[in-house]
Amino acid sequence: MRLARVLRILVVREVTIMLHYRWWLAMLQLSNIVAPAISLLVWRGAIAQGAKPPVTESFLTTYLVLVSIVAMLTSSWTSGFLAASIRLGGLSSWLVRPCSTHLNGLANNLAEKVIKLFLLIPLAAVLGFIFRNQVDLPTTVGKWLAFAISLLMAAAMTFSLDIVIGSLAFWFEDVSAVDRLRSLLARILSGALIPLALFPAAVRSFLDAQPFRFMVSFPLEVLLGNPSRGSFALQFAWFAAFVGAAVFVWRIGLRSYQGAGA
Amino acid sequence: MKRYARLWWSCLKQAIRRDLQFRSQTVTNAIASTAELVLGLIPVLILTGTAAAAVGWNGPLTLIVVGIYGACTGLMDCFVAPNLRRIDGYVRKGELDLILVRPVNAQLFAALRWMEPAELGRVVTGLGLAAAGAHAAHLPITPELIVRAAGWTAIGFIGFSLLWANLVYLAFWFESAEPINEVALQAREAGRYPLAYFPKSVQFVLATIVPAGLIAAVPAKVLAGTVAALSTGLLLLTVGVLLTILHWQLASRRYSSAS
Repeated sequence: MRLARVLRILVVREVTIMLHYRWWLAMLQLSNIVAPAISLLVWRGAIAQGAKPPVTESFLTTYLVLVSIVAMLTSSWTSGFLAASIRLGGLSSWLVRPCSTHLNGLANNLAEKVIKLFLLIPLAAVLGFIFRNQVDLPTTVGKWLAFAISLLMAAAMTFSLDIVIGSLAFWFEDVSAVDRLRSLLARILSGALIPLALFPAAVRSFLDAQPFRFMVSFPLEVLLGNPSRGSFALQFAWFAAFVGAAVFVWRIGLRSYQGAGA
Repeated sequence: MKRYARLWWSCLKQAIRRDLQFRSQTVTNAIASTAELVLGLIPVLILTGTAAAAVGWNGPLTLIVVGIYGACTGLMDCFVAPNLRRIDGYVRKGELDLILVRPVNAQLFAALRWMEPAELGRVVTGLGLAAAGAHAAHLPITPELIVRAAGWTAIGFIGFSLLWANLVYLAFWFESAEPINEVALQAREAGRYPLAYFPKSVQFVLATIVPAGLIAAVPAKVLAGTVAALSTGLLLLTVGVLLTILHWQLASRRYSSAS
């Protein structure tokens, strides 16, 4: 209960701070919508010229219209802040408080999502309106509920992975290159650029099992398709593994922390 | 001109020294840069695999597009992007003062001062991919075709860099212009795909206003035998250069400096 109250206070504080950067965030959302829009244009162009992808045009269009929103909601930008606070000793001020730095990171992420959602939805809506004939959203409440649960687990996985990468700053001076490699892998393997269903059948079993799928693609598969119970179980297993890894790496790292005043 | 060549050479030497100072970071960045090219190949190959017969672009030809795109964007990320990414900071923090007081053309110096040699790994890999694609496609590559294709790539390179520069000059007009770099980078991604996949209106935009299509798609078509006159591209480029100089002059008048 106390944690929820602190989280609420932190989120309100972060929202207030971020409102100063609303134009900055708006431009960032514009960049988020450009990549799926390009994918949508080339794939629809190819289909119009007779290409036959393994998914329906309506699935492809709805997926690429929604993917920027899902990718934003499941994203996290904690690793850079966390690494800087470890490197520069700012972590010390959180260690002496009766509140975890991760709660602050969580509040920061929640606040940026609230603001970004307001900015991104109109852009995605414009894209959806342009291709409205092929956008097909489910009407059953159950699907949206399952989507929300899957989305929450996906967001928690990304946040945990960010804590793991940020925590590497306990041992390395600069973790930005590792972060860049992670982003590259995630871009392709999460389905943020193109749906994983379009990949060749030979690599599908690998793609279906790897964790990045559950960070973007899977919530959309839940919303637009009928994934098996095994897939839900696998997402939960990855979710538990990522949260466990974040807790483990953080605790080990704290032992080697040498910040100002620590 | 000789003075600027000497200046550029000094900046390059300084950039290499800086990279040698942070070796592990440089190596990781070089790997990431090359991985970016290889991973970027995947969506294009999937698209071509599904729709090759439909639009007349097969795998090897697509490989040429991605290869040239990788090599050209590697050069852009080494020599142009590190500078354009800093313009916003120069304006917001007043660091442009230190550029304006130097006895060189400030616009040119601000555009060429920083370099990231680690990105050049992608140039080698990209050219390798393009050569492999040309070999697999059995293209009769002649020196004349290569020069013509390189000419188009240069037009695309400079044209897109000019567009990017004009976008970052928005920092003189708006305080929150920094993410415009991301918008430019995402728009550049369109150059990775053969133009034939895009609707006609988008093809026109990608060949003129946002010349991402000229970076690789047009040069690949030139290598495949399509004749495209360079004069139109050069004319557009001249207009772009003049507009960019004018934009800098207008924008820098708004700069209020740190001192």
